[in-house]
Amino acid sequence: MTRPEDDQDRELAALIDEVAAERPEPDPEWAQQLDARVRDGFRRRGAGAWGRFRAPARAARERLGDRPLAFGGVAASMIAAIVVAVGLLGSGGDSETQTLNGESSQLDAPEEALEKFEAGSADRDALEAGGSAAADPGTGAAAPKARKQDRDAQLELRTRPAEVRSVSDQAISIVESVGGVVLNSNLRERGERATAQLRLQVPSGELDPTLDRLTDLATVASLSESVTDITAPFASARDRLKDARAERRKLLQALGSAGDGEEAATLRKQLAKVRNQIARREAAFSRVAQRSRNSEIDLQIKGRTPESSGATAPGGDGNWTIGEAIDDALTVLKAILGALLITTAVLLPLAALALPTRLIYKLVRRRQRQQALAAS
Amino acid sequence: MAATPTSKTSPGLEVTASRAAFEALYRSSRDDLYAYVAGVLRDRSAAEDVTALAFERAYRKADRFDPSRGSQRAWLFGIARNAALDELRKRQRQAELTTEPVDEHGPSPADEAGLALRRATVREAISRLEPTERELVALKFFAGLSNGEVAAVVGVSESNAGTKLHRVIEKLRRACNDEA
Repeated sequence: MTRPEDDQDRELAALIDEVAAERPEPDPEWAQQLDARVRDGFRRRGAGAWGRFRAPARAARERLGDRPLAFGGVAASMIAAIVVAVGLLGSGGDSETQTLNGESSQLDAPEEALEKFEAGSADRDALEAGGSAAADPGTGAAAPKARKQDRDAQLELRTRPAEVRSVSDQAISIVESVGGVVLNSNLRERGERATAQLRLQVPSGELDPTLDRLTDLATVASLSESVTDITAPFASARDRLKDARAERRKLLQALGSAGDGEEAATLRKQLAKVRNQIARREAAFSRVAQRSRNSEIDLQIKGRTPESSGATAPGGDGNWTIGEAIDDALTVLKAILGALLITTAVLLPLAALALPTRLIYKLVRRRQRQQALAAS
Repeated sequence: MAATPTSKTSPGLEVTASRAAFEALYRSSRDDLYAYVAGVLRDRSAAEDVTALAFERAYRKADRFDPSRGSQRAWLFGIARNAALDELRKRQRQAELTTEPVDEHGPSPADEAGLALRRATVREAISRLEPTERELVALKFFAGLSNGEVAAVVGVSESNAGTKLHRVIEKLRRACNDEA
């Protein structure tokens, strides 16, 4: 005797068999064609002589999907980044701040600064010719009304690191040839970097020709000059000295007619004080006069690669040395590194956006497929 | 079909082994896959195109198969499902099977009339199922996938797939009994 459950099981099994019997079967001819395509590795028909080239390319496109667009975007970003990086690295040295006659102005190239300085030196020459010699305070002769100026200059030269020492030596020779002296010098050479700092002193009348010769030694990075009018302090120091000397003459005259005794002793004491005073005032006058007689040049020589504007160190013979090659290689590497950094900065936000975008796309696609199934 | 070929084999051997594995999968799944796609699309010519497309996509993406995510058949049927649903989206129409399947092992002449009636009843009941239920029938009974593989293809848990299949069978049984 069968149980109801057994009857249900048999009924269910029969139903399942009947459902399975409804299974669609493929057309044999179609099946054979598909078998052949599988054996051929799904090579496209009619590919001809170029089929073996087209098929892998097509397969790659199939595999990559939308990735070529992404690769193209990355490539475009990198090219743009390299262009930006090279432009940034190349524009670093063009703009220099120049200070002339106590005023600051932004110039495009050191050559313009030199032209302005040379234009101003003509005016300064006229001033100097008006009264070149300081009047001797001791003679009492009337001194010409000449302005006294304290002129100093700051000059920065750029040359190749290997030439810093040579340029420094040449600068010293120039200064010594005009009767100047080197107050201070400091030369540092460290690997590919070299700098020299010199404090030079030249007669004020030789300042302009000395600067002209120094600027011929290497590329001028910056040139500035300060001019301080010291006429008043000069006159003041001179007059004070004159007064002190006049006082001493008076005391000497009085001593000559005083004879011996207390009055003479008093006069001698006063003379001693005045002599000390004269000594101090002579020193002060000497310092002021010194400032007008001599000018100081603060010279910096920096060893750098030549500006990308194409300026070359004077005296260069145009040959490309290993050092220059290394410098150029470093410049290229810097540009590449800058490009990589910029590309990363561009791609990271894109990647951060790409992931949720892809997820959203997958969700939308899945929803569309479900809707298509529901509507079928 | 190895997703990660061994490092000790030469590239040529890897390609050959991969191709052989794909061909083995193809031979074991061709008719099942066609039956499933035809069951979803209910259009023989469309089913032929979509089945071929699914195998071609599987062939080209063979290196992307990840064994940790399911069986090869489930992966293959997942590709076919997407292709079939994309086709449905394009067509957005219902199509009936245009020709009856040829049954080589048909019933004896004596049972033919009764069997034909029974089959027509079952066919009618299947056609009245919801599309998602029809898909489950195609996966389970036409393609012969296990409950786990069915779950992997449609994106539900195995227990959920089993429950859904049970309900579909009950629905078919009621429909067939009502017709009878």
